[in-house]
Amino acid sequence: MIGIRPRAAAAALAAGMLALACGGDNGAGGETMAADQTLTFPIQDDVETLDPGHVSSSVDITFAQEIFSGLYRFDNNLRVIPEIASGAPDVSSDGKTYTFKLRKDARFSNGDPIKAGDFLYSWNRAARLNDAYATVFAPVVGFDSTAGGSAQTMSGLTAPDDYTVKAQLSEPAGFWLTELALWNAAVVDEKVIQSAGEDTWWTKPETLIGAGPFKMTARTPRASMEFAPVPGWWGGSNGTMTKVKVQIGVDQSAAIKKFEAGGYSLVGMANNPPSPDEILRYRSDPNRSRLLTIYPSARTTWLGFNLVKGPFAASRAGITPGRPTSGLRSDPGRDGREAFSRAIDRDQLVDVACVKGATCSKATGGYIAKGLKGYLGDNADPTARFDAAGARAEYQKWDPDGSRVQGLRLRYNTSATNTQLFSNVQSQLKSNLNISVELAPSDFPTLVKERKAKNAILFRDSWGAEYDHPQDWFSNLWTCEQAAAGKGNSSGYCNPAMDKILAKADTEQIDQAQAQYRQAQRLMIQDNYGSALQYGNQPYVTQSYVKGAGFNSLYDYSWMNIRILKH
Amino acid sequence: MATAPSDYALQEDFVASEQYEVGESVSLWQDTWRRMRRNRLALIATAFVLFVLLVAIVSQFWTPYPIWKQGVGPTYQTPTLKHPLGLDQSGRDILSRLMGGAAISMEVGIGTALLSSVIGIVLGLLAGFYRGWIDSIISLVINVWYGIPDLLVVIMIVVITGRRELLFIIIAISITAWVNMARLVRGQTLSLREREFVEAARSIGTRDFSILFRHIFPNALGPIIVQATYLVPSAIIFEAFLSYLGLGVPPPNPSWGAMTAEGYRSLQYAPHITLIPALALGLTLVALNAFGDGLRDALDPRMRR
Repeated sequence: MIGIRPRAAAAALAAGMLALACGGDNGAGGETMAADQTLTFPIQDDVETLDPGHVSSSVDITFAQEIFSGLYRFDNNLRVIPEIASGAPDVSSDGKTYTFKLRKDARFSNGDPIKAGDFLYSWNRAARLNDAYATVFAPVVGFDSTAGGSAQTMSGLTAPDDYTVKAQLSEPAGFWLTELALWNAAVVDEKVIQSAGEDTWWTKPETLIGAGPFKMTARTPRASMEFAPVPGWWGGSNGTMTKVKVQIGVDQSAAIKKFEAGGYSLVGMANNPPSPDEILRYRSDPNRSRLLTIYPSARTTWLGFNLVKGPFAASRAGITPGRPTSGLRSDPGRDGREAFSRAIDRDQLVDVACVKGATCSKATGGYIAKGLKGYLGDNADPTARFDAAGARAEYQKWDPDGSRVQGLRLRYNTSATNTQLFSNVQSQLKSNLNISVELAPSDFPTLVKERKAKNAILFRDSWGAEYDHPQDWFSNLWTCEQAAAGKGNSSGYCNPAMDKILAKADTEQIDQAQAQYRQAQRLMIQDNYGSALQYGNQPYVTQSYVKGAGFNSLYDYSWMNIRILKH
Repeated sequence: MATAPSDYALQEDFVASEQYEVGESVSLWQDTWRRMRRNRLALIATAFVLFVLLVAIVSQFWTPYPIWKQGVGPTYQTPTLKHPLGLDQSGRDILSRLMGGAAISMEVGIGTALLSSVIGIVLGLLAGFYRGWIDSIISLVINVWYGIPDLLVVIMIVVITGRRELLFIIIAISITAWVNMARLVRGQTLSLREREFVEAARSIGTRDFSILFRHIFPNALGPIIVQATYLVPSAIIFEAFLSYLGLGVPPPNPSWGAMTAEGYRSLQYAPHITLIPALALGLTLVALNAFGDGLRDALDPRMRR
């Protein structure tokens, strides 16, 4: 078994702490603050839930991260930094035991002290709720029985004293520390939940109690929410904002109109970006373009090929999903996959499909999105290099009479963006390979069902990262285990050599594992697993006098960083 | 002394204006063409309609760029020498798509006019000629059909069937567009069936079918043609509206309505994407209507007054 390297973990966290101490945008010198430090922004749909055990949508995450705290959190550069933990965990030599020391001054916003027992309650509760992000605790011994309902607590979780949490993992998991920075691992107040009710405690400002830098002060469902910094927050300064006002039910067009009238500090927070048309208008206007910022967001979209059946399969006879598609004597679908990939000009693609490159950028550095750990670097993917003549020659060799791709349908889920994207792919395939591909849009559940059943031959595939660790991509999408019918590896790609690399990488800390994850991704590119098309972007428009707002590829910057300058 | 009745004076004007040579024999179409030539607006409209028809035909063989091809240049590009009408939001050449759109508009317009005319003529002839219960049933259907919003019917047909091929769009529009033609033909038939030449045909034992299609129909042809020309622009605007709603011919077919809709959202940034197809649509509709008016005046000069 490969042991985790505690020193490396400690070093990474120490670097994060140093960055936190030295960095910080708060109160930068020379800035004259406005008297009114109120941040206002719109969102279209109300929050679904603010219970960390249930939160999963981008909108909810933005608010949950301000209200709640956990042992660790992400900074603006997606580094994991301690929050309630006093530092890096003590990790046993076998990588299976984590010991966390807690700060003694941490408190909930109602003044209740935070002790190790609160973490045990919160984490066990999250496992019991078994919602979308409960798998954060999957590495902990006893998770399966707790999530399955046969146990109330995870046997691997203990609290040797009031300020120590000990977690026993079933296997070493180098990615677990990153997962602990997610909202699902935040601490919640048992007393409050018990008295206010499991399902309703988060709905009212007076019972929505967390340990984060902000607390909710008012809420009118489907209309508005207000937040204020927690006075004397245990974590130190929680910034200059005195109030955060969120207006709910504002559509994109109305949001921009009010922004232009000075009614909002920014538009784009909580995954509510301006519409593509507004982005275009802002980009074309020199005065307005200064207010527009495009941030990379952690999503990759690629053209998926079915590797177990159809013309792109790694075997003419077909392959049982879950069986290897790589390392076979020959791969008759490979040249076709490569020709398709090289026939797509990604510059044109992002110009046409992404509002002149505003809402996405070209995917030339592998499947893991730009800005995340595991990204291979610009132009690192040779199959993403546009070469119409080369692609055509390769295609003609692979399919001289065009019979292989006759009646080929490109499946995707219907949305304006996807229609634009895949009609461009269709146009480029026709233009560069002289292939007529029929577009086959459907609703998302239908697409997912077809992909999981490995019935889709050529299809849209996409992944938005949940945390900044390659394991998030590989474990969910690309392992042989996921290649089985009904699972998330839509192509049925199975490379046992890559699985072996991943098994090792997953046990190590990210600094050591990065090279192995890169190697794994290169194997996928070599196998022409799919044709990476675009990486997502997150546009923001921000008033010139609002500083410190932004997006770190996964999440909005904390409100603690935001300042309103005199204007 | 009493002045001459005004009708008499008008009739005199009419005779004076025509200036026919004594003994000159002219066909209906020669006569129509003579009158059309004197109507400058109708002539310009006819020339424009012929131009659009020519463009539609040419587009079936040649366009500057393939109408489906995206990224022939930067998206939203304004007109340049290389792309005289600019490029759209997908980097497609607007001139090429406008040409392709002309073909779709003309196919829909003419196809609908033909199909709905056939339906309307047959039903109108039967109702007007046989009268009685046949007329009652057909008139009832016509009246009921009048009460139903035609756009709603077409949208329902398209949505329920999920069919968006050009032929199906033509059929869907024709289903709602035949009633005016049927009403007109019925009225004409009711009037013509009492005329002497019909009586004469009947008295020598001519069969009903022959009376209908060899005697009544040719004599009602003038108004039918005029009505049919009005059906063309109404079908075109109908299709454009359907395409604007996203229910017309599927992309990448360049319907003018769809082109207008696609560019609408970037109106502030790139107005040419919307304005050019909208202008083409508007001019074509005006021209077709002016052509119809001119034809009506030429076929029946009394209508002009």
